[in-house]
Amino acid sequence: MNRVRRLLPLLGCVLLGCVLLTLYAPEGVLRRDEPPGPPAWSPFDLAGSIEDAQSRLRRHPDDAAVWASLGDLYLEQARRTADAAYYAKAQGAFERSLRLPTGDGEPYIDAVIGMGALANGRHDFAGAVRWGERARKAAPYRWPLYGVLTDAYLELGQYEQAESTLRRMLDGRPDLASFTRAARLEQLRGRIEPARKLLHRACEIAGDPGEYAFCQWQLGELAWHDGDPRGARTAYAQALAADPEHVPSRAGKARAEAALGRTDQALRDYATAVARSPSYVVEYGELLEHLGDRDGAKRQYAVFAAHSRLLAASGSPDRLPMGLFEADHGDPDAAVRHLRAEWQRRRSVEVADALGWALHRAGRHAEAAAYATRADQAGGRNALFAYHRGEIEHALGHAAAACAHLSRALSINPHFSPGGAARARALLAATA
Amino acid sequence: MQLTSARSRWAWIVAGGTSVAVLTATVLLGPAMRQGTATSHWDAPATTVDKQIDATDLYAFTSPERQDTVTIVANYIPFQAPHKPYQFDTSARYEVHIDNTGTGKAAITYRWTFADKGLPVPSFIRKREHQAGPLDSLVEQSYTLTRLRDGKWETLVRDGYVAPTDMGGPAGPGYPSLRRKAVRDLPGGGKVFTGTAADPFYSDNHAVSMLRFGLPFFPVKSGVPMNVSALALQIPKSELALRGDAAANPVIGVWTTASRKSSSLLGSGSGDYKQVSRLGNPNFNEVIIPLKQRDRFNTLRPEGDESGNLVVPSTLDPDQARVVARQAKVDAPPAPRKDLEEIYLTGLSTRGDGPIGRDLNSHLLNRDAPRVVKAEELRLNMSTPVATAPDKYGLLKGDLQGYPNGRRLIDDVVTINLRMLLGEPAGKGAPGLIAEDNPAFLLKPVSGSFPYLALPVTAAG
Amino acid sequence: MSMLAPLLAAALAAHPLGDFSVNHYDGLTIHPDRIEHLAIVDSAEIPTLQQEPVGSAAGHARRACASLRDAIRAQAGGRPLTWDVADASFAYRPGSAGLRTSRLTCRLAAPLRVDRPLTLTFADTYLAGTIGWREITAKGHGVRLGASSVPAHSVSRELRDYPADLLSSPLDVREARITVEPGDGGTGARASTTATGIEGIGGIAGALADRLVSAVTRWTGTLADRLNALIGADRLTVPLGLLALLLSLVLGAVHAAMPGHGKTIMAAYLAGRHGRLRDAVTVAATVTGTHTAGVLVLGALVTVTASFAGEAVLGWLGVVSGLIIFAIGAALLRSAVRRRHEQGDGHGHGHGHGHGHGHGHGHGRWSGGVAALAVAGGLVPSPSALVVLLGAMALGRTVFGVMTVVCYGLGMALTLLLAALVLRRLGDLALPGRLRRLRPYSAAMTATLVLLVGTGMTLRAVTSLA
Repeated sequence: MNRVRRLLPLLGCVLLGCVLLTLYAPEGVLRRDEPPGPPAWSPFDLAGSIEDAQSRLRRHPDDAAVWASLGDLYLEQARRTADAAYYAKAQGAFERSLRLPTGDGEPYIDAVIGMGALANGRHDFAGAVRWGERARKAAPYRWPLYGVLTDAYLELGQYEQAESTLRRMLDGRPDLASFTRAARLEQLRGRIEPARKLLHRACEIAGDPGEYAFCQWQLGELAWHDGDPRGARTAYAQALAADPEHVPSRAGKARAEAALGRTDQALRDYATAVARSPSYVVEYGELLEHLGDRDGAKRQYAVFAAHSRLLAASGSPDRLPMGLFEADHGDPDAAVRHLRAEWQRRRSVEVADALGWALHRAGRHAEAAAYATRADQAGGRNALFAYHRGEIEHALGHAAAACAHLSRALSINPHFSPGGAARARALLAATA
Repeated sequence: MQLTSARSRWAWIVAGGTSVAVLTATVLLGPAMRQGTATSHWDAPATTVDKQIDATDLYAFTSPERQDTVTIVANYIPFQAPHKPYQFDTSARYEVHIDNTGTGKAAITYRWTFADKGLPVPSFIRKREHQAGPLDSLVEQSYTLTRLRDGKWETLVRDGYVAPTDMGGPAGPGYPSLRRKAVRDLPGGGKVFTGTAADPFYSDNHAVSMLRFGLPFFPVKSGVPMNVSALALQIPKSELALRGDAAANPVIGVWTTASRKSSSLLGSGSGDYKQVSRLGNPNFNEVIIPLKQRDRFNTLRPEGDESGNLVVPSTLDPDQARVVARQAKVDAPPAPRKDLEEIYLTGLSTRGDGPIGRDLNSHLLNRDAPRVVKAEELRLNMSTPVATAPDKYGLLKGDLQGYPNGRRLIDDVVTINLRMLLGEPAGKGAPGLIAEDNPAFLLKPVSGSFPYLALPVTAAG
Repeated sequence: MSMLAPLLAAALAAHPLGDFSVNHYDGLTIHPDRIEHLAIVDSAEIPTLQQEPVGSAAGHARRACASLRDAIRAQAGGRPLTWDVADASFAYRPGSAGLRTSRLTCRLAAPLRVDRPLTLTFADTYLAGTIGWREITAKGHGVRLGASSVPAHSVSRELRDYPADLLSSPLDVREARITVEPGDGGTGARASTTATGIEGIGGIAGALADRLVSAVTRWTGTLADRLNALIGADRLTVPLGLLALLLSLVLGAVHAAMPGHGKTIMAAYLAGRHGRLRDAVTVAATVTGTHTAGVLVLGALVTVTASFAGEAVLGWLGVVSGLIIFAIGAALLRSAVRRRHEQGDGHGHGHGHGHGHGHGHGHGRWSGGVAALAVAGGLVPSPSALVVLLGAMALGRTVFGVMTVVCYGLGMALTLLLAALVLRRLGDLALPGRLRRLRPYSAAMTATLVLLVGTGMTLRAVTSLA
């Protein structure tokens, strides 16, 4: 009895504590909630715009302009959610628009440009050039078409065309679309500072959170490639603060976290990213593999293989990801096949580097060296390209050249690939 | 008891050791990463929301209570949601041009440039303090207003105060004082206001959907009051008129442009200012100019309109007239549309060859006009007396002071443009297409004194 | 051409909503005595592969349905429903490119007595981060549905047939709100008023408190606005400046009294408990100092680096301050328990003395703890003070801004002092009758309270970090 009485007050204060917790806890009665924010809608809210366009088309199904706008909105939805199902919807909308009569009797110009953007989204870069050039012929002053063309030329490795298109774009309309693309070209040429300045300007004129997230993501990528994972993480975090659904920034943040040794956070971010988009499963798998989780890694690689099969089945022409994957985690000979085919299709520095690396992995070092050199010389300050080149020179027995390239890779971005970086350091130590 | 505790201690030590080992290994080895660019392609927005340099509306009218002055309002950054701060582009030039000679060249240019006054607002604070008053001063901008006349630049306002948006909530009651603070006197008797205001634009929904049929969809909720960023001037007529004589040379043409600084590429190419927006008559660019040329029109100056092969042919034979006529099941007048040319490119005058026989707002009415060209400008005859009972259909209902003789805040320009596209006032047109008792009206009433614009819309309304 | 045909067929067979989609259907059927829930998760090829089951299909279905059940947020009349998994199944279907899609079907049920009108809320947060179709339907069986935010029938035929129309977007319904009434309906109106009455009593207290807090918030908002106007005034005269400082004093005082600052009040209470004003002043000074320093440092950081991750820093400061309080609580509890052991049962009668004794005993430790509590209380800079500072800096009135922040902290301290004095007064009054017995436990009570608050704050800060 005595004991019970002694315990009573203790119980009492536990109870009191619980009451206080319910009062002050999130969603508790007395919690001072954030003041009401701005109204939930935004004039440029994507989902709302799609609904508006849909309802307008139900009333006026023969308005080519609204069909094209709806296609653009679907495309933007695909871009933001990484949900490829919207590509098909966008295509349907653009095709409807192209079939409808217009004021001047020609295909509705924004649908033509939209088809180009769609082709870029599906990695059919040659197709994008065809649509873009068709649009340029019909309406040389419709600036969005130059964005489509620039992107396609850059992916095809036709850098001179990309540059002249971009100059036209900057002359005609300096805006977010032209600044971000100019930044990309500057970066490809190894000019980091101008690229950063351009991206900062783009961030300032971003018109909605999605655009802002895109610019910040680009700033993050720039910092990452420049060997600054801390700055990269900050930029990715800013992008995610503006648009929490921005998958590339989520994956970028995971990469930066991993480089900074914050593995748990990195794994969490990767898990979020790969649940929404297939583009990052290989990265995720590589991280898992490095942490000793071979089964987890295998599962991610299986997802990648399955996704590639789905893409191939649906007619996607891009074999670069498959080639890269096979070179590192599969059959180097298959990688060479994939990448040779891709090289026939487009001659960008990324493909050159990948093909060089695949050839090296398949033991054809001399042939590899030509591609690696090409990629490294034209690809700006890219640590991975330099590292690949160093490895290939090493395999060829050119110790001095290997040394130079490997130490250059490490100086550009010591985190470019800690596995690779460790190997680069080991090689350097062995030759020194 | 002892045993279990010893065992659990061991368990703890083992677990701790393992985790330390794993952590160390992680840090030492690090992940093997490939950069993400290889697999995910570069995917920029296809179309961008570029509101900052988007000239949405231009107004020019004789100030009702100071009839020796003209008020010009150029509105930028449309569709501002209440409660959210919007800023002018600090690397752009916003200009209002006055042509008093009729040559299409600007005789006077007023130029605004903006600078951020405070620090950029950290996003995390913005999120936490939605309605904090001090935010207003953080997003504040200041402006410089300069005037180009006779080849000379002259600074009229330095470090001007840009009225921020009304952040709503408790900040509301004090807002009118901010508005007063943003109205400044100019040397020579004028006034200027720069800042956020309720968007005075309104339209009849039916007229809009008719006029804009087949034009790019506007992803904007209609019927919701929103804000806009205004550049407003009140200038003595004598300052604007040719030779300072508003009695002899009463007609001026007005347009506004925005230019943004471009960038060089790979160390070459010019980073000059490029004109990215041009606005004179409302709807002219979207309705008269074909969609494919719309972006080009934004880069042009009126002085080249007559010799260029875009503005004059488009006005004489606008595609949109046929589209609208088909939709409305009426007949549009046949090309060439000399009436539209007179309305948009020369102004109304009996001295030209236009079919609208009325002396109203052509530069030909200026006594000292040297040579008059065709140029798209919003033309205002400053000598037209202020209407005692203004009509929102302006000229079409015989209110000579209304659009297209300048443009007042109350004019229903979309309906007027639609009706003019279908033939009024030169011909019969289709006046009954839009019911004249339609409920379209200003969402917030204008005030009786400069800058006439209503205070910004807040979330509360 | 012959190559193309199978390719096309494969493309057509791909999941209609994208091969990365996870599609959810929740069908609710409400009976008079229970609510049945048919949950279907239709995963396209890639997620099927990503969540490949380990072990038997039946075991996987059970586990998946259990986690689905845990992800359901459902309430009837304000009370959470408890679900049981009645049946679970998992099956593969052939997908495109030789891959498989999968379909998880869970039948859940929860007891529910529909003997009066009820409002049901339902939300499915299972795999909330994935893209895909989300659909909820609700129908009644032997009960009548009033207003329902969801339809009765599935447009996708329970995820078998997705509308492929160009003018429709995938459904994204994640929540439902339904009112149900007993089937006979005659007494509907009366029952509803009674129900409001019963539910009302609990609600009124909460609503009152809510209203009070929001009124104070509004009022401080107005004050902050005035302060802003003063700081931004064209010319800053001496009276204006003094007025601004006074305002910030008031704002700080109110800020300290708002919920969320229980910790500082507690510090004051701890100080006041011993009846020494000096302790209370120490606490107040410490809170002011810490808070001012915090705001200044954070302000400087924000100014210097535009990309500074302020949100994260605020979050971490919250965690630190919660942990400090937790540690203090633990230490207090330990010393309280130890003291009781030392004193033994014999001392139990000398109430008044026991208190004084205990005080003398642990003074050094206590004031240290109190100071730490105060530090914890002032550690998280209040965003409004930060905004005031930045506003002033933006206008080039940095010194004035710093003064404002100091005044803000002083205001906070004033509230604390006041609270301490009041509590001290109360403590001097003899505790009435039976409550007096609690006195010997007061140390333990306080300690437990501190511990609990510390735990709560840490948890909250940690959750807001993620």
